[in-house]
Amino acid sequence: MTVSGRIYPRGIIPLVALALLSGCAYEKIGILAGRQGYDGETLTDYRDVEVRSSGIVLKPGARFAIRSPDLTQFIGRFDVAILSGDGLRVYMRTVPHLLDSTKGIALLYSSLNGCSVRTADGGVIPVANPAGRGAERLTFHNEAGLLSISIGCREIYEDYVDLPSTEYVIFEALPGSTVELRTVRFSDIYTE
Amino acid sequence: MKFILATALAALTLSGCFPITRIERDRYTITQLDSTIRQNTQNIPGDRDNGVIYPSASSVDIHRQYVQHDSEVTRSYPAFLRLGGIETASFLTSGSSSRGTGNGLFGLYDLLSGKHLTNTKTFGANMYRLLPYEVRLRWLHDAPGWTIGTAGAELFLKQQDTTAELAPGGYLVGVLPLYIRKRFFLRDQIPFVMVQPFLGFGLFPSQYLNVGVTLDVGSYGGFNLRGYAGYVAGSSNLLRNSNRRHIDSADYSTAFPYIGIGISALDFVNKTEELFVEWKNQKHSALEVSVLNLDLVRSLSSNAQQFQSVAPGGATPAITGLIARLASATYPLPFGERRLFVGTSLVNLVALSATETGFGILPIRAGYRFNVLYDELNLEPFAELTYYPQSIVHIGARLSLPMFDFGTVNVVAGYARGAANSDIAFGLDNLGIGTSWSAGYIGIGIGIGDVFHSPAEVMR
Repeated sequence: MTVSGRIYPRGIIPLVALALLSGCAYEKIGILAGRQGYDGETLTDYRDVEVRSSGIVLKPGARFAIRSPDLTQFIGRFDVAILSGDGLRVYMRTVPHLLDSTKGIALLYSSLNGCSVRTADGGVIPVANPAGRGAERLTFHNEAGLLSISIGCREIYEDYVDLPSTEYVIFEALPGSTVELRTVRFSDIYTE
Repeated sequence: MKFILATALAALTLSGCFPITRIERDRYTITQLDSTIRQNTQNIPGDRDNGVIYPSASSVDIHRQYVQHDSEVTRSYPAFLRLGGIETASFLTSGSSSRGTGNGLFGLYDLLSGKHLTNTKTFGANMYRLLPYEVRLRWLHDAPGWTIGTAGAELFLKQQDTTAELAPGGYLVGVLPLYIRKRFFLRDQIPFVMVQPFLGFGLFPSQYLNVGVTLDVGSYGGFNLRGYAGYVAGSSNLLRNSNRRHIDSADYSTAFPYIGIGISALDFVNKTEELFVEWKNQKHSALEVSVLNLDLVRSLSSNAQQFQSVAPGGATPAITGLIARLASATYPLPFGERRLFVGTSLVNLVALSATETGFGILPIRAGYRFNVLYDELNLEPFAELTYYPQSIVHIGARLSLPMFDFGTVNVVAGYARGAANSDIAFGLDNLGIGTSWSAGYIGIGIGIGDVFHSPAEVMR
């Protein structure tokens, strides 16, 4: 993974997450990736999310929002691994406040039922290949009306979206699933 | 005493560091026009003479052409579990009934009364706390009900003699003391009823430990009633007169158990759940909460005398006195359109002129709010009874218009009749408080920190 112009070999801790005291706000997790800092927040019970040296683990049903401060148009890259169970769901172009998980754009990353993208109008676009067991990179190119989603090297979705861009990407572990976020990286589209 | 005032002032200044509002912001980038061209340039098929190892010719061309604007949504939430103005208490404690502060119930009723030196002292000790502030204490795996807080300043009094002066060993004063409390709710609807064990200590200027439990009822329009039981012990050695330190051998330490009752005004209490409710959606229990109402009035009595002497033959000034209410709240009665109200203030001063002056603690007020215009311009006829330490019957009307966020402009008119009281201390009898009086008045005034809520908002 390239971070701040330097190459970090895979396996060396690419992501450092600190549970900042900040008044002992258990649900807040500061994420440092290279020189970049992101704000993580557990939207469910704070015990549903655990910070380990290898990454951030989302336990079954956990919702976790990552905010890239002041960056609404970005290329977001996240290495995720399904530790057990089915997989996870990722919400984009939305915010944690009053999040309606039944509406808006969402990626279902599932090892049992295959992957699919729910579009802004509620349609579901299935993707042939299911999620793998190993770590996989999810990439979200989020620029103006463009939203493209890639799993690994394969782009599975690209379309014009009229939902406003936000600073957030929200992850939700599916019921019975435990997943791990191993790298987090937001790149500004203008400097990428 | 100057030192105490200076530290209290410093505490007031520092208290601005404690947040009242927590703000959440979400930024949205809205794309109005997007004609971005993203073009992948493919490898040219066929062999090229680039050597044995050569980079791919693949490249991506992006031509960005869009019109966007950012939109920021802001939400404001309360950031505190408790934010108070003034808290006072009167304590039963050990010792002779001829000793003690004698400041009366809540440490207020006889604060300015001559009786507090001579009468039997039912309450031997007092506590005064300014600007208490509490936030969530998130520890023990986020156990509910814990708070950590402080206050601008607090003062414990237990006078050892019958004089009005503070004596060594008779007081403990703390600036920004630290308190940890645990809330057990007996009633979790407004007004809350809760039992709060607490542990607190102060480091400066007195060093003391205060441990105990309170039974809190409130907040209701900023007013709270509290029962106290506890033990405080400490020393005020730092307040020893430095110029006389070598000869001042007095004992500046004190310790006493206490049980008592207190009141606080402008003291707002939130449950943890309410910290996640936006300010605009918070429930209100009072039609009006005010820090200070100040009306400049002209007495209509021919016996009125000015506070300041005027030159012989000089004209009577337009303003002869003032009416001041400190820490007021007005509550709607729970029927009809909730425009009929009752209310009170922590301190009420009616000083129409130098010879028409009286004041009281926690007067009883009742009235009706007529809406004149847009639920903002209101006319409130009222009747008010001030019963202690002076008796004043006061009827009048107030026309109020909210200005800015925390202020009102008022026009007032009324009639007040005050009874004589010869027990007033501190030279207030020079103001004619010792004689009965009656007078009409008209005036204008302002409300500072004066927040109005419509009956519809209170009924919500």
